[in-house]
This record gives sequence, structure tokens and C-alpha cells, in this order.
Amino acid sequence: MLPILLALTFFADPHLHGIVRDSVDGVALQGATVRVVGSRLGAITDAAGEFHLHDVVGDSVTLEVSMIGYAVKRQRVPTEGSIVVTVLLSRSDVETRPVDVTSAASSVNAFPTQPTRVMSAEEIDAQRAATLAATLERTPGVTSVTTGPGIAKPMIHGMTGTRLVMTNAGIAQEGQQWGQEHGPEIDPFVPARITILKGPAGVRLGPNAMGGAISIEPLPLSTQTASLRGEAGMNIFTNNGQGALGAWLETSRPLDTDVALRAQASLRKAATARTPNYTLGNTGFDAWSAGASMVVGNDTLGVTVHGTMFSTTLGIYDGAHMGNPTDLERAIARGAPETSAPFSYDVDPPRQEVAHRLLSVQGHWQLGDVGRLKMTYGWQQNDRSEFDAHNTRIVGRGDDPVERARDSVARLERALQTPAMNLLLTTYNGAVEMEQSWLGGMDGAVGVTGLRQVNDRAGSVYLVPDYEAYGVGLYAFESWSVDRWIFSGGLRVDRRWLTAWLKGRGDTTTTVDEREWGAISASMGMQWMILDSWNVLVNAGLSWRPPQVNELYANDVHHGAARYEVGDPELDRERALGIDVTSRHAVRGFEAEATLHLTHFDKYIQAVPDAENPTVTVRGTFPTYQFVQTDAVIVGVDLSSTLDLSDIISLYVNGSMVRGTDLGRNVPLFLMPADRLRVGAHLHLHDVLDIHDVHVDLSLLGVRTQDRYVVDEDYAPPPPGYVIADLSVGGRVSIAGRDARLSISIRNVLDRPYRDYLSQYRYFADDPGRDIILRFTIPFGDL
Amino acid sequence: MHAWHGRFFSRFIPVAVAVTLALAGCSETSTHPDDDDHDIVTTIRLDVTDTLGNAVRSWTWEDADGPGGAAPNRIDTIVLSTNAPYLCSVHVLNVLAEPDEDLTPVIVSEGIHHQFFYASTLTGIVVTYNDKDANGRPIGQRIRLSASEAGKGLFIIELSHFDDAANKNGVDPSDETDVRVEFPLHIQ
Repeated sequence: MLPILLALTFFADPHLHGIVRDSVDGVALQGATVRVVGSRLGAITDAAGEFHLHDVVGDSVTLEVSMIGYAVKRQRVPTEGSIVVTVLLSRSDVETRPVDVTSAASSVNAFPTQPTRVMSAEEIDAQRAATLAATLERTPGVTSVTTGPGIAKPMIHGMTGTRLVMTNAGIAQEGQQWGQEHGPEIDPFVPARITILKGPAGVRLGPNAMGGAISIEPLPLSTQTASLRGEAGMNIFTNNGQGALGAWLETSRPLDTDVALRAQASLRKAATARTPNYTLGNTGFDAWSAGASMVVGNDTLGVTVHGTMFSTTLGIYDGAHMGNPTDLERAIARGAPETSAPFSYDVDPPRQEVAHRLLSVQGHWQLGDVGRLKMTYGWQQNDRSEFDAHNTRIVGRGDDPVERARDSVARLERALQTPAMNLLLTTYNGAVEMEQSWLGGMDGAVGVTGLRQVNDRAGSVYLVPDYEAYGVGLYAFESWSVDRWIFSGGLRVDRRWLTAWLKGRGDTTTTVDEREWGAISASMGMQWMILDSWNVLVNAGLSWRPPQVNELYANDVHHGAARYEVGDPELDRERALGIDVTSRHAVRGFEAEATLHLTHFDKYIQAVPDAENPTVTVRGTFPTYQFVQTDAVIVGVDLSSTLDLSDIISLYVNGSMVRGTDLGRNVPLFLMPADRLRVGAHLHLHDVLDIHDVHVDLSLLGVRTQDRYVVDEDYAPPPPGYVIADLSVGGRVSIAGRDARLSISIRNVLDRPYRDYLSQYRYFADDPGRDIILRFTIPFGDL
Repeated sequence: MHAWHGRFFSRFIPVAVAVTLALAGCSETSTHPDDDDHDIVTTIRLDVTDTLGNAVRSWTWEDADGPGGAAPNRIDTIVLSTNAPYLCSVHVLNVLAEPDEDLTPVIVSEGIHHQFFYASTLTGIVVTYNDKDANGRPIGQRIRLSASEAGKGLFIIELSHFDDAANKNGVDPSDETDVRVEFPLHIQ
């Protein structure tokens, strides 16, 4: 995917006329969305690639041009002055970087007909939160499942964890996925572009991409022109006294070589979160990350190496640490923590220590007109330790009392450093792909992928075993643009092999269990530009996933959920057929997009209570949850719309509804997001004194109570609905000639107590209260 | 062959080799022990004497393979009479360790962080604490028990863990239950 080349011509009235073209072949692009950043003015390009924007205010504006299959392009353009038009035109041509070596790595946009949203680095910067999932939440249909302020898993259309794929630098992120307390180990400070794809993406990304995909692509590094530049950013969150620093530095063509390098680092430290009425003890966390990227070569032939390390220590709210279900019921009955903890940066057990190391090597080779060959190699290691709060009761061993006393101290020290559970997950990925473009608007690729994964378990918790897995996949996809239509289709076959070494608590022998699954993924889609201002996307996709190891072999108390989970080694693969229809409409002053989606699951895997067989343990009786398969369906709608009231004020609304049903039992599916709607007003003042692009954004988020749940299958009914207000003020200031970005956002302005159904702490504590977030970013080096 | 091949492999291959070498040092095996040193509770034993100290009997609740796996292998029925009060002590053991471990002394020595609680579905069962922690609050490892009415029901023993000793008030259990077992109880 090559960036869009933008050609603009100007008229004397405040009217902006432009054409969007492909940078390589110069073909005019139809259906690209053009927005004036900060003003809600926008247009879609017509069949000739042209767009018109009227009543553009200010002496210059930043345009953001996006189109499925292309990288988002932001460009600042002047809006008045007729004499300098020609000059500005040529300058804008020079400024476009026609060749970005790594932009070829885009891994999600293989289907030009699916609803995607690309978050540019600047947008990520403006939305950046403590977790990656929270950074994505403003996209309709995307929510997050949280376990306190430091842990969040993204959810798309009610599907999360193993029903989504996240790719990082071209390879699928592989961490522990089976618990709601397992967030993806990706630093929200990484300098990247994020693509959110809603809908099945199994053909391109293989098993698990059922609900959608989130692709994190490091910003392109170019070896075209020599430069040295970087950016530093700082975030402060007042609610939990959180501070975060991030910076990156890159150099292109050092010593006149075909090389570009980037180094990146970030640090984060947070104390206990505060709800409006009390403090949540032991919810502090810290994290650091470091990474480096290198590009050698050019657009024809080159290699990109990308490595990152991410490490975090996360406190688990001490009020959430339950011994047994009676404790949980007592905590629910009390309605609030027993004591409001002091504000503290200390992290005590229970806590998680997680490190993720990732390395990807991507090579590409343009073989003339034949096509483009791409090779990817990925290695990653996820090292997760969970420390229990109950490690201190230790008896010395030995015959002699002195020896016993010494042994007891030694064992206590060991026990405090030993996690109750340690899981080391190592994954290798390899892929070879051949991309071809033919005359007549046909584009496509064929590829083969391989995977090897090894999990090593240690400690006293028996939820996942040691295992080794292999996978291979073979795929092909093609798209065809003709007149006002784009058609796409793809097919993929996959096979997965699993060998698990099973050893229960107290077992002296290990049994070996081997499993194998295979399935076909397929997709078909079309985009139809019905009018210049209206286009429609229709997609159908078949995707699948193998059962996860915990669903097969779990046999222990899952303390995060206060239930005893029992796996079933005979589980079959889960399959899904997803269908979605998206309509986009944009005329002057009004823009709307709606997506209807339906996913039918064949053998949906879920844990259901086995009321007949509660598990009696020395800690009391736990409800037994058995992993079973059923047919299920998820339907929903995402909606977003903006309306300009005047040149400076616009109103917007976005929301989503999801309905999940277990068709076998004819009851609602567990943990579906509640209906939500955000309405807001956006004020764009252009220049105020020396601040550019000043904007004020005030919005209300309303979330309904989740009334679709099964009585008696959860410890408490879903929490009541809530409304919170968010406010954001920001702009750009020139500091020493640099264009620095500054914003202040206030989440939950009125400090309202509320609980979200997707928060794991909803049983016993409120969500965090008012949070004032200060964000500051400044570029440095060559511009 | 085409000259591009040479250039491509001269770049891709060294990088791939360097990466492979760098990763060869990374183990796929966890550095932590497979079965850790944490003590788990498998067995609760209730020793009962009369008020003169004469042994009456012991009753045991045991899940020898720990939580999960097989169901508890032994749950004795406690048989007592209405005649006289009893002195009882509760013992917490781990039979998965070799040899068996008695965790009771550790619980008593960390008495400010622990308390046993007792309950019964029968009326007329009266339990009074017979010990105190360093803060003067009951531990409940030693109790005095009397029964006034005959019947069959359950006797429930709970051990609460208090991370913060300040939260232990001697009356309310904590939210961190270490032990909760139910013995059938028969009062004659």
C-alpha cells in the first residue's frame, strides 16, 4: 500500500478543490474520505478522485485523507491566496514521501471492502491512555474488558481474547489469552499506526480472527532522504498519580547508506486508583518498554527488523482477592471495600509480572511486473508470573528444631519470590507471501504461513498445561476495482497440531494428549459507490479457531472468577460465519456511518455452570463451570454521525448495540457489552493567540444496564446503567520552532460513581472517578 | 540467475542468521520450579477431649489430592452428646508433603493474621474461644464446645486470613477464606 498523492488546486473563494491519486500509477482514487482535521468538514472523492470542500475557514487547514487499503495521510494546506497556488502545489508534491519501505507491511488492509478504522499516530497521541485497549475505545463497536486501571482487553462486537487477532509489526501477538485478567502486552506509547478491522479476517490472519483484528504497525521508516528526527511525549493522569514518558529517535541514511534506524523507549508508573468514594488498594502498576527498528534497502529490495521488550508489574486490587464464593458474596453484599486504602505507589501481592519480547524480520523484493515477494519471521516470548497473596504460611522441614527454623525462613523467602503460576509462552512465526497487481484493477496475494508455539507451566496452579503446538496455513485473496465497484474474495486452509503434557496436582505421572484440527476460512465482499456521497460495503466471512488449552484441560479454581473450571479435551473447533453491511454517507456538513453485523457460531465454546456437581474443596464449595460447545449468534449495530452546526461547532453521536444468544439453551451469552451511546459537541476555533487548531470537545457517554443475562449464573446482576461526561481541550503551540501538541482531557468530569458490566471489579468496587489527563508531545530534529 | 538474488540474500540471510543466533540463547523453559514450595491444606482434624483432658476422639476432613481432582476422600461424622462440654482443638495439615506437615503451629504463631470461625445448622451448639493472639483477640484454634439439644446437622469450620492484622476485630470473618469445611454432626 503506498501513500496517497494529493494534488490540490485553489480558488479565490474559501473553497478547496482537490484530487486524490495513487502515488505510483497516478490513478485517481474514488471513495477516499477527506476531512478537515478538527472541523468535522468532510467529503468523499468522486469517480474522478476529486473532492470539494466549501466554507473552509482559516488561512490554512490540515486535511486527513483516508481510504481502505491506503495509509492515512495528513497534510497541511493553505486555504487562501491566489498568487502562490502553483508554488504550494509543487511543495506539497515534494513533501509527500512517495516511497515508504515498511508501509508495505500493512497486514490487515488486505480486504478493501471491510469496515476498518485507521488511527494515525497523532490520533493515538490524542487518545493515549494507560492501556492500548482504552486508547481504541472511541471507535464504535470497540469496548474493553477491564481488570482495574492497568489491565484491559479490547473487545470488538462482543468478541475478545482468542476471538480477535492483534498483530504487532506484522506478526500476531501471542500471550496468555484465557483469562479476563490477561491484557495484551503492548505498550500504548509505541510510535505506530493502528488499524482496527471489524468483522472476520481469518483469510489473511488465520485462526482466531473471528470478530476482527487490531494491527499495530510501527511508523514507516524511509531510506529515501537523509534525516534525523524524533518525538518526546509525556502523559500525566491525576486519578492514580500516573506519569508516563515516551520518546523515539530515528535517523535515515546515516553516513549516506541505504539504512534507517529508530530507537524507542517509554516508562510508566501509577499508584492506586481512586473511585469517587474510596481508593482501590493495591491497584498501582508500572511498565517500561524499549524497542528498535532498522530498515536496510529500498522499496525494491529491503529488510526491516523490529524488536521490542515490554515489561510490567501490575497490582491486583486487594479487595478482589477472594478465598471462596462465600467471601465474594460477602463483598457483594457490603457493596464497597471494607476499608479505603491509602494512596500508594507500592505493589504488593497479589500481583502480575509480565514481560513480552518480540522480534520480527520482514523482507520484501519487488520482482518487476511479476509481483512483490514478502517474507516474515517472528519470534516472541511471553513470560507471565502471577503472585498469590497466600504465600506466607510455611513450615520448616527437618528433624532438628534449629534446622527446621532455618528451613522455614529459607522456604518463606523462596515462596515470596516464587509465583503461584508462571507461564512461559514462546512462539515462532514464518510467512512467505507473493503480491501481484494486474491490469484492470486486480490486486491480490498468495501466501503460506507456519507457526510453532511452546508453553511451559510452573507453580501450583493447574489451569493450563505444558504444551507444544504447530500450525500451517495456505491462502490466496484477490480484489477487483471496476467503475463504482470493488469486489474481493479469499480462501484459506489451516491445520493445527497440539501436544499437551498433563499432570494434575499431586500426580506423579504425566500423560500426553495429542489433538489436531483443521478448517477452511473464506471471505467475499464488495464496495459499491452508489452516489458520490454514499457508499455501501457488504461482506461475508467464514472463520474458525481451535479450542484454547484451558478450554481443553483446565482443572482448578480460577481465582479471578471465583469458580472451578473443568476443561473438556474432546472439544471440537469453533466456526463462525460473519456477515456485515456498512453504509457510509457524507455530504457537506453531515456524515454518517452505520454497520450491521451478524455472526453465527457453530460450536461456540463457553463455560457454563454444572449446578449438579459443585466442587468441594478445603476452601469451601465452588460452582463448577464446564467448557461446552453450543450454537450461538451475535448480532449488533455500530453507528456514528457528525453534523456541522456552523463552521466552528459540530455535533457528533456514536454508539453500538450487541446481542448475543446461546441458541442451544436459548439464553443470552455471558459478558456481552451493554448498549452505549456517546453524544458530543466539538468546537474548533482554529487559531487563538499563538495556539493553532484549538479544539474543545465535550461529550456524554451513556451506557444502559445489561438486562440480558442469565439469573443465577453470575454472582450478582449486572450493574445499573450510567452516564459520564468527558471534556477535552487542546491545540498546537510553537515551541522553539517546533509544533508541539498539548491537550488536557477530563474523564468523568462530574466524578460520578459507576460500574461497567465489562469491569471484573464490578462485583465489589466502583470504576475510577474523575481523571484529569495532561498530554504533551514535541517533535525534534529535522522537520 | 538474476543479480537481485545475490543482493537479496546478501541482506536477508545475514540478518536471519544473526537473529537465529541471538535467539538460540533464549530458553523455552521456565526458570521457576514446576511444583512450588507453597503449602496447601489437605486435611482438617478436630481433636476433642472432655473438660478433664481425657481424650474423647478425633474427626477428620480430608481431600488428599488437594483442591480439585478427586472429591474429598474422608469426611467423618462428629458424634457428641449433650451431657458435658468439650475442649476441642483444630489442626490443619498437608498430607501432600512428604512427610505430612502440620501447619497449625504456624497459624497460631501468626495468630494476629488468622481466626477460626465455627457454625452449626443445629440449635443449642455453643462455641467459646479458648485462646488469644498477641493483640488479645481470639484465634480459635482451641475452643470450648457444648451442645444442649440432640439432632443431626452440620458443623462448619472456617479459617479466615487477615492480610492486615488491623482488620481483624475478633468477630467478623475476612474475605480471604483459607479453609471452609463442613462436617456432618450428630448430637446424641
